[in-house]
Amino acid sequence: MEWMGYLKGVLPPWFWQMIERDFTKEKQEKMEEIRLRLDRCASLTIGGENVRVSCLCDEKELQGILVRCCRGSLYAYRESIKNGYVPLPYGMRLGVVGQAVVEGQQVTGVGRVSALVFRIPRRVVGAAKDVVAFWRARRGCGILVCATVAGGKTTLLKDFIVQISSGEMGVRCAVVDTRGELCPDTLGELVDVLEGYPRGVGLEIALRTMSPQVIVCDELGHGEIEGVMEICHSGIPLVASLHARDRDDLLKHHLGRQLLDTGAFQGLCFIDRLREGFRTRMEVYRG
Amino acid sequence: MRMLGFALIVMGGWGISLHLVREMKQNISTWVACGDFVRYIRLQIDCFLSPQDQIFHSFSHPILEGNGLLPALRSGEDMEVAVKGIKDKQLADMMLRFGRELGQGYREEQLRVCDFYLAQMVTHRECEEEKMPSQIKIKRTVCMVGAMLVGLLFL
Repeated sequence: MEWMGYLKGVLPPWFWQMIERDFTKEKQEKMEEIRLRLDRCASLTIGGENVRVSCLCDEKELQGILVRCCRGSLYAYRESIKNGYVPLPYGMRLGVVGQAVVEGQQVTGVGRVSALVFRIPRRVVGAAKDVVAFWRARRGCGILVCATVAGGKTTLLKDFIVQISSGEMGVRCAVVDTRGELCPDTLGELVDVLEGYPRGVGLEIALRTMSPQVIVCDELGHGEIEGVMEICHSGIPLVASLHARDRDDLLKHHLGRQLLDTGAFQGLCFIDRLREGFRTRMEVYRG
Repeated sequence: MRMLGFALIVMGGWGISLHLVREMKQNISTWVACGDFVRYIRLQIDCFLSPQDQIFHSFSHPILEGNGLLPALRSGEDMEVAVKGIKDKQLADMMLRFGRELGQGYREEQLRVCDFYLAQMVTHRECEEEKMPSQIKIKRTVCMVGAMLVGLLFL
C-alpha cells in the first residue's frame, strides 16, 4: 500500500493516528476518499459509504497539506489548482475547494482553501473484462464508457489499458492522461502516455505522432469534439469516458449526442455502481 | 631562547590574523553562493515553474555542498535544519526566512520573494566587501600588536 505511505507523509500526524485508531486495516485499504473541511468534520468514503470523523482542520493545516501535496511548490501547480485539483502520485488526486481568485473573467488561483478531497483510485483486476471482450469481438471499435461521478470509469479504463496492451493482445495504446489518473504504476506493456496535456492537444499529438492502434482518454468535453472527429476519420478506435447514467441520459446530454454523431463510437458501456464494486452493461450503438 | 619564543608568539599572531582574514573571505563567499542559489531558484521558477525538489537536485555549488545546505535540502529536510551549517548568523536567518516563504505562493509572488532576498543579499555583500580592506588591516594590526605585547611580556 504505497499510497498509504504517501498520505501519511502529507496528512497531519494526528489525523493518520486517528484513522489507525478508529478504522481496521481492511477498512483503511478500502478507503476511496478522504475529505477535510475547514472548521467542520472530516469524512471518509469507504466502500461507497460516507463516514464522519470527529476532527477539525484549521486554515493553516489545510494550506500546509496543500503545499505538501504540491511538493512544497504551490507555484508549480497553479494551472491544475485553477482547474480544481492537484495530481498526486499513485494515480491519486487532490480536489481543492475554496475561494476563487478571479482576474477579469478568469480564475487565476484559489485563495482561502475551505476543503481538500483526496481521491484514492482502485485497481480492480478484470474490471474491463466485458469491454475487452466486446472490443475484441468487433475488431477494435470505438467505445464510450458512461457512468455517474465516481462510478468507476477511470478504474475500468485503467484495466482496459492494461489488458489490451499486455500479454497476447499486445496492442499499441496511446493514453491521453490529462489529470494523471490513468497511467500510474500499473501500466501495460505497449502503452505510451501523454501526461498532463490538455485533452484536445493530447488527442492530436497521439494521432499524428504516435501511430497508435487505440487511443484512450478520460472524461471528454465540448472542446474535444473536433479531435474526436479527426480520430474517427483516421480509423483509429477511441475508447473514452463521459458522465452519463444510462442510454437515455446520454442521448439527452448535448455533449453525448454530439460525440455519438461523430461516428467514433460503435459501442457503449454503462457502469452500475453496486455496494461492492460495479457491474458493466455493453450496448451496440448504430447511430 | 627568549628571542626564539618571542618570534614564535609573533608568528602565532600572524597565523591567527591569516585565519581570521580567510574566515572573513569565506563568509563573503557564502553570501555570494547563497545569492547564486536564490538567483537560480528565481530562474527555475520564472522559466520552468520547477518544483523545489527538482531545483535542489539540479543546483550545485561547492560552498553550499560543503556546509551541508544543499545535501540537507535534497534529502527533504526543512530549511531550519539545512541552515545549521551556515556560520554567519545573519545569513542563516535570512535563508531561513526565505525558505519559509518559498513554495507558499504562486509564481509572481515567489519571484517577488526571490527578488526581495536577492536584493538584501547583494546589499549586505557589497557592504561587507567595501569594509573588507579596512577590516583586514584592523585584524592584522590587532593580532600582530597583541602578539608582540604578549611576546614582550615574556621577554
